[in-house]
Amino acid sequence: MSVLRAWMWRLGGLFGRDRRDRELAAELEAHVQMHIEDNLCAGMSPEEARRQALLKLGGLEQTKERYRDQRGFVWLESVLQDVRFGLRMLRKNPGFTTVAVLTLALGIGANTAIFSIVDAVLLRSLPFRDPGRLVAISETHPSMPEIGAAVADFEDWRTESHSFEGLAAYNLTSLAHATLIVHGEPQEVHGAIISHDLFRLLGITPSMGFNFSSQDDVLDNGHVAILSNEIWRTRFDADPKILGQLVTVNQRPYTVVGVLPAGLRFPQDTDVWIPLGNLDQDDRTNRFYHPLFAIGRLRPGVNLWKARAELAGIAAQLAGAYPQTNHDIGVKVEPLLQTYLGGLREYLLILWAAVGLVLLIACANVASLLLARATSREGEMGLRSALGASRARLIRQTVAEGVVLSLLGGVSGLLLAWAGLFPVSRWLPRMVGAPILRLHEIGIYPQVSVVTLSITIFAGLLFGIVPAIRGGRRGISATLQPGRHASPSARKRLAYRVAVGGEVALAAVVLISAGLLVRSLQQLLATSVGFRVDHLLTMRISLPTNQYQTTQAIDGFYGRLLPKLRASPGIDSVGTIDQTPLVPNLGVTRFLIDGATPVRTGDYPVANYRQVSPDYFQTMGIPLMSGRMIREDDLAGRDAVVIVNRTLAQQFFSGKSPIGRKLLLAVATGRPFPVTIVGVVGDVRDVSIDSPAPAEMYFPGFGPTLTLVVRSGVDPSSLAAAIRNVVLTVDASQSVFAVETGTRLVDDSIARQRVSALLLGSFSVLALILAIGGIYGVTSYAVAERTREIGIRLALGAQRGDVLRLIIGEGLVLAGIGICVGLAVAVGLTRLMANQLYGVSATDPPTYIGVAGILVCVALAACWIPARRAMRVDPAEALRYE
Amino acid sequence: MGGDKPDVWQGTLALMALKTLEMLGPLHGYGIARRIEQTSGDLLSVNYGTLYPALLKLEQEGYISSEWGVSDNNRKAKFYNLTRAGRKQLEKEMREWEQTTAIVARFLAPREES
Repeated sequence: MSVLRAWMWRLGGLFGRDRRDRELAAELEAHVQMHIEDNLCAGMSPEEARRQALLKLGGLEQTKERYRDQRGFVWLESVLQDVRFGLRMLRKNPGFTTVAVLTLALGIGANTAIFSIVDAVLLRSLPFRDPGRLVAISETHPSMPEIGAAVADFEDWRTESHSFEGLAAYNLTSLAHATLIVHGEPQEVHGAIISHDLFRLLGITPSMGFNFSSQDDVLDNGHVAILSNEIWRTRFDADPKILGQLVTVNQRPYTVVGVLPAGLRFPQDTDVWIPLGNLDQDDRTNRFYHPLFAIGRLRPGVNLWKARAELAGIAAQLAGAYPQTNHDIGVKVEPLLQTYLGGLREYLLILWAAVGLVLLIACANVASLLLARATSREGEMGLRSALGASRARLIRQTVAEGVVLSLLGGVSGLLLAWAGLFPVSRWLPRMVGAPILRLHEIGIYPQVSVVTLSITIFAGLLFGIVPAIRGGRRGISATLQPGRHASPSARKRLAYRVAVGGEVALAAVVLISAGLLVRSLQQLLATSVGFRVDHLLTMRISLPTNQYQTTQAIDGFYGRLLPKLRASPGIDSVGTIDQTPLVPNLGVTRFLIDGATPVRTGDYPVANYRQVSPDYFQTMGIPLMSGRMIREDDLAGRDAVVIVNRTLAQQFFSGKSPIGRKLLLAVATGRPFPVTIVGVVGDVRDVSIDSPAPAEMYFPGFGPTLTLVVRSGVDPSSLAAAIRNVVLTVDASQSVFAVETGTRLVDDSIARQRVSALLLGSFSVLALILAIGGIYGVTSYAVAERTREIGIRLALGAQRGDVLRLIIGEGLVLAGIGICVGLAVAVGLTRLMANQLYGVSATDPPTYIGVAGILVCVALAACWIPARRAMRVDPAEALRYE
Repeated sequence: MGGDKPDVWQGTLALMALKTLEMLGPLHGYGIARRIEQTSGDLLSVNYGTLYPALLKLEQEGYISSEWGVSDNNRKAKFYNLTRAGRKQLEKEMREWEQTTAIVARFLAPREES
């Protein structure tokens, strides 16, 4: 208890120090006076009395010191004192302080901004309960890396596997473009068929109503629906009595049983969900069809590998039990986060690494500045050491100064990051394109601030310690001598060299990474997508199936629309396709080559499947390689002819002409029918430019929902309104949506590469600026310190030009070493980002050479002014300060 | 005393200060120091300066209290007073001292049984 009291007293002793000091002084003074009086009474002289009194006390100052030691937390007080001292020193050198703080702010700010993004995107983007335990499960086939799962397979997983707390599934294709009738008006929405426990698994509870029940998964049951919050607000006017009402989806009625909270539109801008009971019967019963994508929650203690192994085992069992359908069907299990973000994770990490390097450069800058400044304060340090300051105390003081400096830099950096996040979070959506990410929530979270501050303090400690340890080394006589312009020691010169060389090396690594990404982007842009991108307009049309119930009706619509469009002014040609290239599409099919060697059922090849109008290829500018295009009369006898792309022809007909050969379709049903290949067209890129074109087959025909493509001679976007009007003349209730130009289509597909090149390019500019600043600063200091040496050289007959060459030469040599080191490091590191590159190797020579060149010029520029200053040294002046 | 064992010395000093206050009542720092010297028969040469930190510690621990008053020569001085907790602590420490002394004496005394 008394110990606690003592501590509280001591804590209190930190405050009101002056008052207590005065009190003590008064008490001691009284003590001494009383003693003096007694001594006088004993017969001593006044001087002797006082002397004896003071002697007996044991020294006034010492007593006060010991008293103070007892009184407060001494170490804390002296730390505060050091901090105040540090602040004063920084204020005295505003130029130095500004440069150092700015440098740190830039480095730390960039770091914080990127870390915030990484934090928001990688760590927070899935609005599900405990998303780290969720995995996405799909099946694989040798010719397709990822296909859905068969319903029966999924149910087998459910019964046989022990790795999961729960397994749920969803299907996107059936309702990908569903027509929702609201108040009599049709509306195209994205829908999904989900198992009853999907939302529960994800931790989603409807904000109104209930989740589905297991009964709803039974075949032909489940005529119920859950709506998204967004569609409930926009289309149903946030009707509070929505539950229990009927909505029509694709002509079938469903009762609304729940509405989700805002922001949840899993898996992809989905607005309406219906349960598994609504899945098509064929899809459910036949293991040949793979309509589902599954999501599982790992049981505690089960990791990804265990789950993978277990499901692989089950897949093998199924392959043995059902060789016709499941042979060669594998299972793929990936963390859900990765499925959404794909290569984004890696890419963000690369960004972060780059920023880290920039921060290192900034720290190197500030460290060398502090080091240089430590020289000028060596005299002061020596004096204070002589006056009794311990070495530890001196070190502590410089460390405090370093910490204060970096705290200032850190706080400014945080502010910079906060300001900079606004424009970045506007770019990010274009870059990512994944709809669920909570991009609007990017901000500086507490964890980010903590990390930043830790980096800052660590940097500060580093800055303070290094010069301090070096500073206090020289003896008092050496520092107090008038040789203020003594040449820097060999160790100091080495430190300078390391600083300059190191900064150049780091800048080289950043620059090379940026350069590789830029070149990669160049290659991407230069890659032919397979069709003509300019003057192209695309838009979606969705014909409601209740109005257009038969193929004839749909054909009739387009039969009327297309000629009208062709006749419109400004339009060169028109075509349709169910989904354009560079947009994810889900149409794949198995097939067989008629007359080829028989293939085991499980090994049937797979190809993309598309429906096009006759003029499609012409409109898109896709070249015909052999045979003929689809003709108008093919439309009537559809499914009898097919056009394949070059990849299919090469893969399956090995170079021989496939014209006239037949493909077999509907191979799973037992009633396969043949189609004749009549033409071969060029390849187009499918989902993304950087993956090669898959095998594709094109059939004549129109579907209920398709993309209209229009080639015009004028600016395509100007035609949008005109085209809409033409559509209205054919059917007054129809509308078009998702209007995009061809260039926008391509741009969106490479948006990420573009932004990453931009971001990394910005960082390398930042790195360059910092490196220039650093080299300039360090060289300036070095030159200033070598004034005497230069003076001697000049006095001994060196030309001014020689001095210039000397300084610049040294700078260039250093830069050269730094460049070599940086290039070597880059070779090792860029291997890690190889998957982000397209068309360039990680050791692309032009990039490396270019960067080396830039850095040499930069080093030259940075050394120039100090070198000229060196050149102008007046030898007489320099030598005067002996 | 060379100041080689300040902690131990301070502890003993504190005890003597408490005892002095108990015997003489409220007293200022100088008085306590003087009194300790006298009581030890001038065998102890106390560095008066070490007394003040000891007094502060006693005050922090709540065993003594202080207030400014006037000394006999009409001089302003800080007087210290024993608190109730201090009285209890004093008794406790005196008991412990006696115990320690008795044990050590038994060790140092010549063995009586053989």
